[in-house]
Amino acid sequence: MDINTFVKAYTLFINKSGNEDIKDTDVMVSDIYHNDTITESTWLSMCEWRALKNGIYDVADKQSKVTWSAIAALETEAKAVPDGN
Amino acid sequence: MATVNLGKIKLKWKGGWNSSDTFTADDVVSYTDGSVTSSYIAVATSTNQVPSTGGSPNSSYWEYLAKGQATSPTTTQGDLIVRGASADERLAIGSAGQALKVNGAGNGFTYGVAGGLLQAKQWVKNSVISNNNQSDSVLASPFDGTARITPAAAGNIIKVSYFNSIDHGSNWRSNKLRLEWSSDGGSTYYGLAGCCITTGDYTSEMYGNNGNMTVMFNPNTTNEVRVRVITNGHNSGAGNRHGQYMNEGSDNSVLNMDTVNGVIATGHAILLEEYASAIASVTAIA
Repeated sequence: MDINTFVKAYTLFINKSGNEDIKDTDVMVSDIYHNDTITESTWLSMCEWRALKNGIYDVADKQSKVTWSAIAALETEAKAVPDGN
Repeated sequence: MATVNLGKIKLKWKGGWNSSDTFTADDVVSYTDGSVTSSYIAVATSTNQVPSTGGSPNSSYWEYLAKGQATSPTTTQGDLIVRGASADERLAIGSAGQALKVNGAGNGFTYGVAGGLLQAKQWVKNSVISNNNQSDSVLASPFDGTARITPAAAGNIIKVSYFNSIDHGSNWRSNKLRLEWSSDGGSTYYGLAGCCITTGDYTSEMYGNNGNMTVMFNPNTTNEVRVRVITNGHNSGAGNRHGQYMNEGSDNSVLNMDTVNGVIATGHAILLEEYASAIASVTAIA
């Protein structure tokens, strides 16, 4: 999927019921392959994870429940979300 | 009976030269010219004619018999031998970080600050970072503290130059960027500088904006110094394409940077430089 959709899907994922424990996490996605595409085979090399610590979204490890399949399942829903920002 | 003057039939050692004695041909003396002690042979009768001056024999009266070697003027580890006004001289080593350079008069050497820029290190990000968090967030590598420099001496000044072009979505308003530094491995960061990239009027959007910060600080350490960037977007219109400067509008899809002859012209980078404290200073005013 394209990176913009991925970011929106990630936001949907962390805001889903049951994911309150990762609500204050974030992702930074670098388009290192220069094709505006993120896939299951590339997403771990493109993403950096952030978690809220002392008021700052600081460098953190990926939470185990954050999986490609969980985010990819929200692709269609994410495409319906207006860009907004 | 006829007398035949054979002159001296051997050299006559006269000891050290002095100004009161009269010397005749084939007398031999020792004499120290500057720091060089040599032996000289008289070639004519003389009184108060020094055998040599400034390394040149007084050839009307004296010639070298055996020329001596100057004793080393050095006394201490690190000394250099340089030619002074009339003889070799000692030049003591300078302080740590100093370099040998020509003195102000242009006739000798001295140790001092040469240039002052001690090192420069740059990190370039050749891909766009997508993030539109509306809280303070550590930007992606290399802006996460990966940019590091180790000062050669405490008190040296670190200069940070950072630029970032940020594209956005459909409601672009503003984005905060803040530089921070740490000298304890990233446990504690200190504020350094900040800027805000803004459209000025969100109803008249400017598609893509650029933030530049150039600032110096004194970490007063020889520990490795890390510098990071904090981003924070406006809650009604954050930047979310860090390093993207294409003038495509608000379609929120382009992530390209220009590539010229196969080389990417980046949209964001950070440069760290170290300057010697002798030539750089930072003054903070309340």
